[in-house]
Amino acid sequence: MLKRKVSIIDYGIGNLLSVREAFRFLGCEVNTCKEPEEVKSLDILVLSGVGNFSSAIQKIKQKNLFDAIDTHVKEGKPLIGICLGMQLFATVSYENGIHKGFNWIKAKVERLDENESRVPNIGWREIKHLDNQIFKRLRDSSFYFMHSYHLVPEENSCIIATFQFGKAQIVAAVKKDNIVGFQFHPEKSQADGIRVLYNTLESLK
Amino acid sequence: MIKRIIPLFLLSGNRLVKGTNFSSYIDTGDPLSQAKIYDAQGADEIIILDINASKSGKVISSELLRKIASACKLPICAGGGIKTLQDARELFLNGADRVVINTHALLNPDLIKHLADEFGSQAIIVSIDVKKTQQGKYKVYIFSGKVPSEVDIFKHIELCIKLGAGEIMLTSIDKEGTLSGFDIELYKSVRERFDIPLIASGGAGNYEHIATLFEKVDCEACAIGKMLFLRDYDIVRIKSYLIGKAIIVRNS
Repeated sequence: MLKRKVSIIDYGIGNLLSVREAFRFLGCEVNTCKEPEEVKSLDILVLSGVGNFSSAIQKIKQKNLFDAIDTHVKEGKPLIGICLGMQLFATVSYENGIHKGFNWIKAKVERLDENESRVPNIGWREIKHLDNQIFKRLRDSSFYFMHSYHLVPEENSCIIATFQFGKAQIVAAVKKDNIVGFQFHPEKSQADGIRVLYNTLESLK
Repeated sequence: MIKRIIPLFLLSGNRLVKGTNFSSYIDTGDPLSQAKIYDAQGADEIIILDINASKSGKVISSELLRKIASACKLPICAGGGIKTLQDARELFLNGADRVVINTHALLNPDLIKHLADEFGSQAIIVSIDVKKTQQGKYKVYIFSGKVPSEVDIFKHIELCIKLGAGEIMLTSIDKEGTLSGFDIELYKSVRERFDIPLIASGGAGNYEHIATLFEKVDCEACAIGKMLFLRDYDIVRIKSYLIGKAIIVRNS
């Protein structure tokens, strides 16, 4: 059991229910937060979401959450990004135009290359990981992905897991200081997914 | 690429059912307890479709989805009667990871575009039900196999892809519930023409049928109904068999 306080940013899109249930399953106290005031004084933030990059950023800004989340991270507090939530870490996304992200990681978000494999990338992919903390004690190492865009960091130092997409190595997870992001859905990846969330919570002090 | 084995849940009222060739349905249990069972067995995804929703102008129950999503840790695709963005949003908020559209994708193809723009292609499955004609062509049916359409199957798929469908689930009405194997030619003919993720559905009756499908057709997944619900098979044993045949599946 991990008695951490986890708050999921609710900006109006996506299946937050499964994310919430996964953290509850681990013993966390889980809240959703919709107001910038709620972001202050929080323990761990979770940024999830589906849909496209620009509408996510727009909705976060409309709800005045952008600065509050950005401050939380810049103060060194922990944040976990899932799927689109991880892509928002980037400097810029090229999904339907050019859109700025949080710029916590110097990276761009680009469409997966259809010459490598079928897009969208849907289903279970085996990952190669470089982080023994977050990916320790797994049964298998397959996780559930569903995305058409992916994160391309300027420097490899933040990459903690990749998967093979045709001949390309695509980012499956990143970690930098107090933030961790997953391109896959740990909350949907059965036992190993829950294990990864557990390990992540343990690693984020 | 890891092949997905997907239990297909057909919902009628608040019970699961299973039929043959889209009729003669019989009760196959409680959806929530069945979902927990297949989650525990290591199913790769669940597809749950309300087979009466479109006919009765309703949408699959978000309350039921909520219960399943709260109890299970696997991806859930939900469909039945989705006509609008709001219908889909309601399902996503209640635990669906992807939505499945069929009848209304054909009646109003722009729905695919609206859904894909809002939620992303990866979240949109277009399900297509077909029956083989005497001339050996495939005819597309809507309203759970009840109403034939004049749309050409390949033109329909082409349009779905253009408008943003992320995956096609293709069901052979002739094979559905017969336990006699997949219509390999059908999936081959689609794979030859289109490079979109594809779920084959209809006809799985034994291990060999599933192995043959994956050996002969480069498709991403297969949906299984009767073989799981009304015969003595489970996900663990199906995957063990496939591993023995050198087909790449996830350990369960």
